[in-house]
Amino acid sequence: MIEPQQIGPLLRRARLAWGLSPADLAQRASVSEMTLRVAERSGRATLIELASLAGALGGSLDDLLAGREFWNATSIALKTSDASFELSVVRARVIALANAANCERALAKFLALPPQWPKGAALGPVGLQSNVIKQSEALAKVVRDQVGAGSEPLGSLRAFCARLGVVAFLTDLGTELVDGLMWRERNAAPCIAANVAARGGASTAIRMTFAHELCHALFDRPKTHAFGILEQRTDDAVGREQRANAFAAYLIAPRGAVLDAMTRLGWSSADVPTSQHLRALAQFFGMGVEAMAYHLVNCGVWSKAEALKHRTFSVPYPSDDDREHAAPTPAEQMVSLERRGRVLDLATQALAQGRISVGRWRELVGLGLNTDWQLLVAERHVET
Amino acid sequence: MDACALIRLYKCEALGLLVNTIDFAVAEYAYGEFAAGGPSAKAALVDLAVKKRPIVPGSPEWKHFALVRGEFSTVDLGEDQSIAIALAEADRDNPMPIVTYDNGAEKKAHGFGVATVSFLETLAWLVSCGLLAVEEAEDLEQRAVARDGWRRSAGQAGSLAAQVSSLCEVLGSALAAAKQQTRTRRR
Repeated sequence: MIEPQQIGPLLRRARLAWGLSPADLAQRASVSEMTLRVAERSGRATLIELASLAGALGGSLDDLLAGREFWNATSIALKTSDASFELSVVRARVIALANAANCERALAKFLALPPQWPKGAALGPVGLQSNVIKQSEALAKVVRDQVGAGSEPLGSLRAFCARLGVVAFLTDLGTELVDGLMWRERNAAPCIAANVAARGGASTAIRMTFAHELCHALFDRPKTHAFGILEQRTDDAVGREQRANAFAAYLIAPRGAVLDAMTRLGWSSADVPTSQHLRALAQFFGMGVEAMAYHLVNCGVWSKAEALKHRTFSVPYPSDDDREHAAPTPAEQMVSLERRGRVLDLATQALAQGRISVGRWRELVGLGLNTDWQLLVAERHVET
Repeated sequence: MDACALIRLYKCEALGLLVNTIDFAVAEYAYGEFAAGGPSAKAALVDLAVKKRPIVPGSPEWKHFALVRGEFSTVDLGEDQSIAIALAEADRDNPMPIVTYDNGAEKKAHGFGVATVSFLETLAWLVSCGLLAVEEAEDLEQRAVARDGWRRSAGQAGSLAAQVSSLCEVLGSALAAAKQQTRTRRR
């Protein structure tokens, strides 16, 4: 645990990293501005005030008292945006993501889950080559091989990411202008998140975002230090964004598998694919129709002009990747979207094993004593 | 007193029984959690005249908290705070048990050598002090079943009357003194 005199400077650094004024932070943490100023100057604050301040800065009291720089990567990600959207809303959700990710990390360590990140870490980083489309196809193959996924459609992108040690979250950033983000604290496994407010919250879009962010997490990160990217929508992706887009498509639908599927659909290489082919492929691989159209261009079976004609279809795809957003139970809705997935699962696992108290479980999933938390426990068949 | 104990007694409309009995201290976090229940919950705390106990960096409680909390705690902040306060009070030769109805918190407190008072022990204590008849305590237990999901665990079989006699056997003269003190305060 850090010395009391180190608490103040740590709080101040975290606040400045997020670009929050003392008044903003005090309001977010429900403490008085005077309390915050005293805490930053001398570290003098009660535990409950310190817990509120740490929470409002993306960490927990435990993170603060351990002296961890829990805000680094997520605040770096936020700074990569050009703030063409309502920054305060996006910042609040990014802070909520940081909270969830820090909580997830602590739970995974407590439960002694086997670390998967060494598998992912071994793959990168990798610099850009001149032909990014070709490179992205090769990288997608390497990644699939690392997990032993062959060329089958990926039912769950999140499960796939988890096998490489990359934890995937959902969030609602309140703007369509951001697809998702990726961040990685120093010497830790990376995290990625998809924004359900973008692209109508379609499951196929969420899957593409996860795959896109996975590319950044594996290949665009620095070797050790903290790093983050927040993805603003752009129609003219270049460099690493272009690579990540193409990587996502090749990961979800490898060229060989696409051609096999088209052959099974009665297509021959002499034919021009039809809209029916496109829709069937999109459904088979769980990819958006528009993304699949561009992917067919990259795969060399369609011209760009032909692809542009088929941009308006949409194909629903049932997937586990957006479960907690698309079909949460009424009890799950009490939990914030960021914690509703893996954090809730891990905390409930610890509770079911009798390794944490009910109070600690509520603390981890962010439910107060006066909520109907018993419903959630009962729904998951946990004896308390 | 832990927040889960406060909330169960509150849900069972039994907090009032504790008014003017002994001094209660509540960790700041648990106090805040319980008070968030609304104005009547806050009023119940005022009636009970509980002492809200914060912990600030550098205090004797803080040192115990650091030890109790560790890297990843198995209990919540209020429970850790309560254990730290009990340990600091023990250093001041003022040993304090924790009233907690959470098995995990009970286990952790015992690990640090802090005594705890369970729900059944609370009922037995109320009967022993003459604040409840055995039948009233049994009614209260049934209310806890219906309103707070209370269930006895395997090791808690037996009638409340038996619980009371075993408590009297263990505490003996200390309980008689507590009974006298309660009578004096309530007068």
